[in-house]
Amino acid sequence: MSILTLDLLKRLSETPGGPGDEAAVRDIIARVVHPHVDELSIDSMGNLIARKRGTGASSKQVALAAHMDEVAFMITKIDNDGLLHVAASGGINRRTLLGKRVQVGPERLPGVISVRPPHLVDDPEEYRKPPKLQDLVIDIGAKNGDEAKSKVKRGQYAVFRTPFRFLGPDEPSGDAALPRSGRISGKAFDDRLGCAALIELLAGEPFPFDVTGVFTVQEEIGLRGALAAGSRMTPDAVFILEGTLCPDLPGRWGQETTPPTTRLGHGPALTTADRSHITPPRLLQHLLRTAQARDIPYQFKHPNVGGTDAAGFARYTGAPAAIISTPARYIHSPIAIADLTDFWHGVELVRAAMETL
Amino acid sequence: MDIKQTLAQLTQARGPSGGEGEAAKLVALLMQPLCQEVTIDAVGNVVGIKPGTGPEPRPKIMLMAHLDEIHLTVSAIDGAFLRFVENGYDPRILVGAQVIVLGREPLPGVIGDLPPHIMTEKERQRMPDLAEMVIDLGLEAEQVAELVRVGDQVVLDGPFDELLGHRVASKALDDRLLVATILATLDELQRVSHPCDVIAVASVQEEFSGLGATTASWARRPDAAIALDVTFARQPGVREAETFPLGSGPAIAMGPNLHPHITQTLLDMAERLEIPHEIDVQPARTGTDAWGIQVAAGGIPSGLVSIPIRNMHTPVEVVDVKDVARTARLLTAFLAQADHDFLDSLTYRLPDFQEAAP
Repeated sequence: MSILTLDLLKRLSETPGGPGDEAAVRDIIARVVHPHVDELSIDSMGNLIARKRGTGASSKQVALAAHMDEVAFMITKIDNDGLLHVAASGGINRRTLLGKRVQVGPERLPGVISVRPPHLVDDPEEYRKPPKLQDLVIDIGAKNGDEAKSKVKRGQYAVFRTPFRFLGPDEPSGDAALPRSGRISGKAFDDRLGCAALIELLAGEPFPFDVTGVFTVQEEIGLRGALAAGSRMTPDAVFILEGTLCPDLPGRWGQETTPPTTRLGHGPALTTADRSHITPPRLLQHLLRTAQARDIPYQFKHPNVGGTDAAGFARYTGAPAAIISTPARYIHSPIAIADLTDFWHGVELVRAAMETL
Repeated sequence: MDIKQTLAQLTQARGPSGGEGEAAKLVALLMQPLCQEVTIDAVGNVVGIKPGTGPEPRPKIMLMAHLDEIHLTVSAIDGAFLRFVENGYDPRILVGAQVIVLGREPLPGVIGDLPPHIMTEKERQRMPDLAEMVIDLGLEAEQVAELVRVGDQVVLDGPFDELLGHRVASKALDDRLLVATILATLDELQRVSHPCDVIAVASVQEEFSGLGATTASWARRPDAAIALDVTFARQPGVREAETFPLGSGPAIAMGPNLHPHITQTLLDMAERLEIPHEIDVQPARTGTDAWGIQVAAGGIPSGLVSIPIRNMHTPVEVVDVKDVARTARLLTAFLAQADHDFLDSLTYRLPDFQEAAP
């Protein structure tokens, strides 16, 4: 029996949580996992740490982690016309920003990213250029600077405002258990899908050993939460639960495409190495054997792409860390698409790998 | 009439050029209680008639705002993905956008982009062109083949957002905003006597060929007409001379597409009623239904009143809805005075040949 529902995934996806501003997401997670764990604490960085005692059959220590933050903007200036100027917190895809919806500040004020109408563009070359961040403004409908300043402060965050959606023909009801298949779209799948997987694993039956679940902060600006949390623990194994890139798109019309990093619907992605971490071969081997024994589909993520909290957890203690990711198309933009089959196979694989560790 | 609520309903309806059916039905429903007769004609225009007071024949004045919104068209099915062509969109806003494909059923989709992690520096510095973009329905190829075919239309998707104060953001404010203005005008006219018959038209295909404007004008042969559309509000990166501050009231257009006396009457009326307004200088083609109306059915004296919006032709067009009530007030006053004398004042006169030339 799963604890996850479409409604919970929707809340996890839609709630704002820029790097350093994860409180609202953390709150949701804390309330959900609280009845299922033995200890819950928040460290000085803002990481949420959940301890779940095992059956006592094993003295191993295992850590699971997923990051709560998402790529975001911070408000740098409020001009006299009441428009908000921004800087990026995390690697936002600049090509996807014009004419998109955002939510600003703790009150989640709706705003839109301004774009000048095509009728008034003189030089078609402009269409070829992604906007520069310093040229972007968010319009919250304020009549002037004073009205805007009464609602928004410099330093507040803005994140995308994208409704979560179940794609495909038959939408199940929101409070029913999260479907085992079907595709979903929404923002912040990197890494609220990992958060959902971690919630599910913590809410299940106890493992043979004690488990520490870490919901980390500030992954998107350099694994900051994982570094701090990882420097305090010496687990025998760490499993990082991620939402990873999935550029399995056809190429330019009529031309070959480049080989994708992952493919949607082909199972959870395992990382051999990314830009910041090499998965210890023995831990990876264990995952592969488990997948093969249980007949769980999996795929390898194209090596040397991206980086995750694994490097943060390994940095000080050298703890062996592996990464299990749900592929999600178009991450670091206003919207992503993921396949729930991949998500559930990932959960199943991690659970099985832990049981046989 | 609750303008925001009506506007929310109108903008959420789907009505690409040539596929205005859903939007047309909604407009007909909303117009029904305000008119004596409402029809949807052969090309899809919604036409409501509100007869005037006074003996026949009465002057016939047409108000027109367009029903259609800009759209994309599926050009090929590429496995599980859709290729498309656009008309009227800045391609940059399509990257990362949410759409509804009007296939066998309405299907939500995404026009996504490569994640920045794997882009080359060159890719990061340029926008993808249309040939590189695809619509992703999140479905398998077999499902896509069953539900979508080449030629299906696609509209951008997005909620109706209430921003601060009287400002809202939505898709299709161009031109449902002015359809709402027509409804607000008809609503006011329930309490104001008007000598003319009012022909209220929500026209089709303005964003494509202007077909609705010419066919409705030809069929109804109004004595005069006012086209209603959106215009450009001030925002970063635009020239001041071509734009109006957001919420500055209706912009009354002046130029060869418009009959000078209609323009002057509208301006005088706005002055007299102290309605904030602006003058919109249009030296040639206005890019509105007024362009088609003016030359239809032997020529129809036309006016053009516009409301400024930001981010035109995007799913986040922004308007100050105060301008709707202001514009409706102006139009109501205009219609209340539109009698035979007014029509008379629109006719160009020959000189009195008995008098000596000056």
